[in-house]
Amino acid sequence: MKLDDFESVFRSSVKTPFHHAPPNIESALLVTDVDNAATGAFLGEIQPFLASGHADGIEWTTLTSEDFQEVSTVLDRVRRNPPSLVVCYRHLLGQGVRLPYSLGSTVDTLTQATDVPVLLLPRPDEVGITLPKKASQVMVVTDHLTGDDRLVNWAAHLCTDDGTLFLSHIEDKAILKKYLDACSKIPGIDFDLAKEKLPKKLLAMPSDYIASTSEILAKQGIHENVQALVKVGDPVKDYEQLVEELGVDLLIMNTKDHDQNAMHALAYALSVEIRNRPLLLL
Amino acid sequence: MSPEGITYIFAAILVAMVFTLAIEEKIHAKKSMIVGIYAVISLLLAAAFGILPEPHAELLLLEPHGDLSPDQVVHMPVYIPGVEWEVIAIILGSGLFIDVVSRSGIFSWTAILLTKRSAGDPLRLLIYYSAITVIFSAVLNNVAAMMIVGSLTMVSLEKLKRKDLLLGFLLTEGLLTNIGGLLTLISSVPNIILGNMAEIGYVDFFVKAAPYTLVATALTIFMAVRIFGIRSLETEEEKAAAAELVATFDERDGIESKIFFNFSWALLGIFILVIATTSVLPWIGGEHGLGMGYVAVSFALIALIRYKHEVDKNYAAVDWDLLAFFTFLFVVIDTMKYSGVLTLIGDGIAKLLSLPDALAGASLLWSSAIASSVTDNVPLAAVMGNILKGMENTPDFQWWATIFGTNLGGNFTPIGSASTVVAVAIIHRAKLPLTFGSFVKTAAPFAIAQLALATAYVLLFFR
Repeated sequence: MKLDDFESVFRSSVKTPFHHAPPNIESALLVTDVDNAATGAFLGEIQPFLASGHADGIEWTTLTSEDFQEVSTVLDRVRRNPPSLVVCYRHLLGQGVRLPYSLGSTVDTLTQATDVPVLLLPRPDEVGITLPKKASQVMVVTDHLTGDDRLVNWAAHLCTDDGTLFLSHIEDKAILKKYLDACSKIPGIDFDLAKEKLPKKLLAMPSDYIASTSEILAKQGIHENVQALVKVGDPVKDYEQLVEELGVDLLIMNTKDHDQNAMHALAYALSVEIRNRPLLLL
Repeated sequence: MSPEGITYIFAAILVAMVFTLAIEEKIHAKKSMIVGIYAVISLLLAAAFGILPEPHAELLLLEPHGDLSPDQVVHMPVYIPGVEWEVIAIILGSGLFIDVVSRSGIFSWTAILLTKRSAGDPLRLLIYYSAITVIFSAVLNNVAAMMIVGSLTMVSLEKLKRKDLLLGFLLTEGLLTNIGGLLTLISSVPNIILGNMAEIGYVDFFVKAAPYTLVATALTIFMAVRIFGIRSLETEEEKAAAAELVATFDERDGIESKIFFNFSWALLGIFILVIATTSVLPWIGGEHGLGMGYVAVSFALIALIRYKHEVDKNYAAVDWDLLAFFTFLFVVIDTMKYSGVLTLIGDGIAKLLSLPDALAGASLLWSSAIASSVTDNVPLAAVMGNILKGMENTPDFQWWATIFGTNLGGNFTPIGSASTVVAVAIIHRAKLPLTFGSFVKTAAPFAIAQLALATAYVLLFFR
């Protein structure tokens, strides 16, 4: 073995552990485009859903169609007095035609122009869609799970004690193929070795992190049932399928990209595709 | 040409080879290439001057137990019997064995476990890393030990956010590889060459070298603590934070197969036991036994069973440059023997050795050390071994003075030994400033202290 081999062994042995730090949800702002009465009824459905986990005692305020007509009003309100959580749905203010493959400018602005987490619910007037009574099947979605403590902490906080926490990581097979193709064209790289080891290592990192999460949550007596979903695949298609198969009540994902204003690519794709479930956009 | 003239021509070739080896980095040439070219030139000149033994083609005799008959004569070129094949077999076998066993993760597991046990305390980490450097140097070899401990040091101090200590740690470890290299007969190539020539057994070597290794390690750690200002953590907060950071290391990560991991531990234990008892084993030990090289190669093959379908990858990992270097070197030294160069150097050393014992021993130790600090200690060991072997009744302390000198001299300069070269490579990889001069300035107090201790030890206990 050479110096590089040993260095790789030791670098690989350094794991990123999960740090349990539950979010403190003191206040929530419900933003709707219906009147106060309808908003109150809607709030009545949301409160038990959120309280089914550990998020109880939240101080609620609302912003209804009677309070605002412009996105900037919502943004000013959130910036002036930031709540712990904003709850809303797509296409607020009936923004033109409700294009199915968009979130509407209010949600776009809230997720990207503020740091406040947004709980995106199915529209209350959407036919055939009802809000789950409790969050017992919660899934964390990310293309970089390792070290994403914030996502996992929110998920653990909102999931019911007897529920299941699905910590997932789907490595995009198209990207992996691109890298392996590049490896096959570099003379110094053992392609067979790269083909065997690269996917394994890419999946080992989130698997180790999930194992650490599961161990720490179990130690704290919070969640016994943490399930790992780690594989190489087609993220958007696979997540859509998994969400349906597992009957996920709440999907949690990261929307912030460090180097751009637009929403994180996978999060945006899933947000527009999965319209029948609550999504927590962090 | 007169015999003296021929001797001086070959002496010039030897000096030129040593000089070229000293500047190998500058001329971007591998050791084996340099020595190989000198071997080719030496052989051709020796043949041209007619100094090779006659007839060349019938030099080696098979199984010289009884009377020889013509069909027992093996026809072999002159450069074949000149090579110490036992040494080559030991280096090839043990190198391959250790490489295969390393893949089980036993060494990285040990190193990571100790890192976690240190709880991230710099002083404890230095003591642990120093201890494993010495042990790994003894069990593996200096270069492998430096690669394992050096790369872990880089990763762990980076994790602990203590890169300010990295230079001190790596230098200390580099200097300790040459101390650990003294522990057993197969820990370093000079030991293998000189120990074989002096017919020192594995256990005898260990018993005589271990006390020095222990004291010199403690002395080196003590000096490192003072010189590099390595201190224990003081506050509880610092201790808790450091402990949490090193706890993120997972010692099981490098273990691909638990069965092979356990098997490797057992095999390593048996390897050490068999090597240690080689001299008394039936068919293996003794004058006509198969020898230590056979043991090393056999264990390498047993370990390779795990990778039987891809042994070519393990063969590729063998340091062929090193093996070719040794082979060519033995050829060069053999021609030096025929040309009278070894006798010439031997005469000079004989004058040194005619001094009173204490002075002779000290001179031999320090001159070997100084010579090995500027050039490779392997040619030096091979030349010195041949000279001492050629003398009548060479006393023990002269062999030991040469062994200590050739091993420890490597600590004076960054090019003095292969393991200090690796240490410097890791230091440069970490982008730490270290020039040839600053290495010598920092390492000299350590090297002088270690050599002073060795001088006292050899003169007090081996005379």
